[in-house]
Amino acid sequence: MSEKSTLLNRRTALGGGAALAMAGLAACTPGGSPERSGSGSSDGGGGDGPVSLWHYYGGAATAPLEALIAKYSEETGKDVDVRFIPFGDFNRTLLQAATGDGLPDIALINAFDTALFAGSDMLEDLSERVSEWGEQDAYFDGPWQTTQVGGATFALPHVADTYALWANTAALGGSGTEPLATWEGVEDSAISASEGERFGLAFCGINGVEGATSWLLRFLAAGGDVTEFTSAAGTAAMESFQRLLDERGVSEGVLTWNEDDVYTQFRSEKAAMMINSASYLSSLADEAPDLEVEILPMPADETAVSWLSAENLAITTGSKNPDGAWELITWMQQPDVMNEYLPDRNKLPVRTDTAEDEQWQDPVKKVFVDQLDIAWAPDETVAPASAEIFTAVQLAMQSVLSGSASVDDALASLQETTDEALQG
Amino acid sequence: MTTTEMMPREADTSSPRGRRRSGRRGHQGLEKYLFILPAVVFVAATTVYPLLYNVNLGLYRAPIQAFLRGEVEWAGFSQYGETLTDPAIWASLVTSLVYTVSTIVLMLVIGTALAILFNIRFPGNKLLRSLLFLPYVLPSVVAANVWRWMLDGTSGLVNYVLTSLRIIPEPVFWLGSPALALPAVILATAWTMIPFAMLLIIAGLQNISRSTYEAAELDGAGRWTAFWSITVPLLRPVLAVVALLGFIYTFKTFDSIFIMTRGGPGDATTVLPILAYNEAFVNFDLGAGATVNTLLLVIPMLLAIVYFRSTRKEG
Repeated sequence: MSEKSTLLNRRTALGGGAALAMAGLAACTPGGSPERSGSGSSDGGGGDGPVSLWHYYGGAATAPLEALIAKYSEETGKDVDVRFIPFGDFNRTLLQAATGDGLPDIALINAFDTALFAGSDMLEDLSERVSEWGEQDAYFDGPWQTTQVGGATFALPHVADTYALWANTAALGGSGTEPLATWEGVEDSAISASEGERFGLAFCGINGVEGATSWLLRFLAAGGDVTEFTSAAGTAAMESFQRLLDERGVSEGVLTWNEDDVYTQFRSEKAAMMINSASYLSSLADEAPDLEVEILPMPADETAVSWLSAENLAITTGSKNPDGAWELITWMQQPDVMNEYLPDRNKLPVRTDTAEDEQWQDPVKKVFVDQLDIAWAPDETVAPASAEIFTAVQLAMQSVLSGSASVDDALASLQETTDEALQG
Repeated sequence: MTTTEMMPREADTSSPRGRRRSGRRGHQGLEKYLFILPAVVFVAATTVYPLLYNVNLGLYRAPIQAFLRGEVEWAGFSQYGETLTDPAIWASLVTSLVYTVSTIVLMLVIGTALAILFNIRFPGNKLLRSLLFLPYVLPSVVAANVWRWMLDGTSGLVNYVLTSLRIIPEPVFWLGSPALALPAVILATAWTMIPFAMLLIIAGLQNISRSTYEAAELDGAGRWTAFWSITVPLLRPVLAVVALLGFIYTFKTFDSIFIMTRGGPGDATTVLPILAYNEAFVNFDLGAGATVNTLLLVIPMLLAIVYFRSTRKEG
């Protein structure tokens, strides 16, 4: 036999290798999580290593959380291994960790993602622990509902935020803030307050989930239901935003602005009003102390509604130390601990007993806190598909505002995507 | 006259001595593969396996919940079929190609012009060349944010300059307009890629002998003729490499577009990597995301194969 025939040539090696690898892969069904060692029950799963906690609080939000954890370690003598992952990478990293048995003990997750992760078997069922703990009735209903999936509790709320209407009263002139109680009044005031480089209203409309919030607030106030966009509420919301743009009540820039950009527009007086959360209270007080600002509840239409932005603390099914994790997350629920932490975070309490503190009686903060009762969050049937639906909402709004689709066509397309997303 | 032909002796494998020699040669043949084994294992683990895993994942319906539970459903090639018949994919593919090809054209034209300029000796040449290289070494996140601010409709530098020079009557929302967002993103990407092209083309220019130009000059060729008849043909291999590398780099761009527009407005700048990201990490449909990723992989690969085949033929 010749040498040529016995030794591999390049083509054979590559082809054979690829075929073998492909055959091997095809034989393997992708997915599945490794067997997890944690225990969801309260009587087991104690580990002796430090509890690990992953979060996505970047920038100015990192230090308060780290100080909070340091306080816990100081009080209890227990170490906590804290890892920051940027928001954009957080869910992807968590999902990758779930496939490789690398989940942390505690994940600080977006409240709207709780149902998705619980449905993916990534979170421990905390119902039994919560029942023994007995503090579930202390929570505002909105944040608490985001932890409920199929009648079980999969997380404890951490912080909340709501959206309000910020008004520069000097820019609004003589009309004052009285008309701003309704969406119709906001539209008229925004149009009349636009002058030169200043627009009446700024909101976030950038591509993606974040850019859907303001339109959804308008839609929900008109009596909308996020599973039925081809409705009178859908048309009313879309026409309202179209009118605002056509009559220069808002800038074309809203389609490119994230919430930080919206704040910048308002702070630099290029917008007379903005829709934004409480996150910017400290920044505005520091950076534009002379601005005459009034914070108002979100305007009403058929109904009054605000938006819940919240984070939950969940124990993962990969936790090596669920008892230690439970101890830490319950420690973080104490009203005195939270009342020291929340002002640094510009966030709102999730418990009514925490909200009884004097600081929350401040008229500005009270507007945000009071809206916790009317803050909307997707229920457990919508939540797992909420990112896909909200992305489609933003796309529909952008199509209408950029003139590339009619209101009816945009809503029909949005409805189609929503139906598909809900079917899963 | 008797001649003796010196014939190469064939290995006598029938004798024990011959078998030993043959066995040693076979052993030596296998030994050489042992030397490349670490590299093969590394490439297989870090490149081949993830790629094949991705292709395989595209054969399953894999929403995240089912994926993590190990309950994915076999779909065969039907999911790839659905991807190929989805209008959103084709729209995104067209956007990707327009984005990539336009960036490369800008990169080659401006890169060549700058390379010719910097191939001439003049005071400050090296300093200017170094400054021009800055956009390429800037992290793409920084470059994208810089462009996002410069193109801002209310306070951007681009609007300030253009309105001051009365080129445009009023500020334009470059990244908010479906018609302008893609050209704006192309411009920003080309800005970062031009120095890379310039550097390679300068190296190519320096390999062209002066005597070739002098001979052409003696034959009466003007500068323009010399450019088209000498510079361009002799630069062709370099330009092809720049175009190929530029295509591969640009076709997979994600970060700068995500920062500048997140694929918007609407789907005006939704290139394939953004679509794949949305499928996998916004809609959490890993199977659908994998099919888009495969498409993203195949196109530059086909281009590279065509290029290497053509250079082999030329060789």
